[in-house]
Amino acid sequence: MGACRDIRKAILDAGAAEGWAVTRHLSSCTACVQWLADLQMAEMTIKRLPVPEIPPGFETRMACAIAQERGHASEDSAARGFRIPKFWIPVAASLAAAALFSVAGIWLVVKEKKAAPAPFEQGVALSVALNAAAPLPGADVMLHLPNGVDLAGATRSTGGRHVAWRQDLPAGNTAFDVGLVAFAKGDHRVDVVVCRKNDCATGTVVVHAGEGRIRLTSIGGTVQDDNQIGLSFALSKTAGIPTKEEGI
Amino acid sequence: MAPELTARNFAELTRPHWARMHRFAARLCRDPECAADLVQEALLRALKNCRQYDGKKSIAPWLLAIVRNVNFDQVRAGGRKREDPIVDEDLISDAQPDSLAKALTTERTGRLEEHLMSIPDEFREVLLLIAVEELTYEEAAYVTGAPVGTVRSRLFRARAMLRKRLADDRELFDRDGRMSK
Repeated sequence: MGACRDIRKAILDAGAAEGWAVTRHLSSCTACVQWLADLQMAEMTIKRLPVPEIPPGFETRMACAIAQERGHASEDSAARGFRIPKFWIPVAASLAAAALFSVAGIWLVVKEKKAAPAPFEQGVALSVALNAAAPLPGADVMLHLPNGVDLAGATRSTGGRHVAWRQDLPAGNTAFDVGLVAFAKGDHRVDVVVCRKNDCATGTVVVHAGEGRIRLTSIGGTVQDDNQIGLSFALSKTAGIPTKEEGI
Repeated sequence: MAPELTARNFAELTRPHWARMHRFAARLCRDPECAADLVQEALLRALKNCRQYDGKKSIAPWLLAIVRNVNFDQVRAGGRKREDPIVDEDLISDAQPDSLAKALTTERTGRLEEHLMSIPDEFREVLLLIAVEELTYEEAAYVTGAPVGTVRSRLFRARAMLRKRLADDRELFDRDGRMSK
């Protein structure tokens, strides 16, 4: 067993059954061959273990976190602005004066080509709480995203986007989170629509993107805090026409 | 050559690896509930440092390395107790001839999971990266920051530790080497 001990230690240290001495020993020692095979089988037991389950809402939560972080980053960079180091100011002034005279003619030619503005992006997590007075099986939930706002992580849509899914809404609150990115300044209306067959109710969230921190307000809903919109949902009595006043 | 990683395409390029990051995190931090927090922290750190990804390698090892580093930082901040040192004598002994084969057929995955989690971090992470995530030795070395030779040695020791723990498990196997009921 002394030789076996040395060989096995050598294998553990090297992380491989290599080398002349090791190979020669293994060719005549069934115990060490079995020991090596056991190591492989131990690894195979790990492959059999079930994959840890991803918690519900994991993807949405990650998308929201990324969207928020991107929003903060773009605000920070905008706040920092562009500054010329002090020691460059005399040099920059001289260069600017020279350039003013030398490129005036060129400027007339190229003035139509303005520098592309820096891309604008602000991210925000929208939390929507739907409140159903009674269980609502097979409800269609839709988000209408206008041009200028898209889902975080999505390939950007130029003409707006409609996101829809069907789910059973139990009585009481059902909450979901959506990561949004605004890529144009201004106010953008995001409609949240809940329908069952032809009966619908809507709420509208306005995404205010621009200077400072991105904000959300709602039309017809209840602002719970800066980033959360609560919609109390009930079916409207008027079939076929989404209305934001009824039941919200 | 992978495309350049930017804040704009970050979610799109990393999303296919989120589940893999969560799987790795869940088995690193020993608490399934902390895995989502770990992945979120790792993704935010990756986003802040996305220019550090050079695009020469697959993005998965880079992301897994960040998960590992975040976990390491959290462990260090929390002062988690390190495991006992390993005694090689335990790892090289003969013992059960066939209990491992039975382990492969038992449904007692909870016990197997416990044995895996009882392996010290630096060995378990290598076993997970190579056996579960199917990284190469070189990729595992990149993730762990250890030389390739060290990774190979840790992998073999991790296998040996697991083999010993399975052999010693008297709840999983009875004295005759049969699976307990």
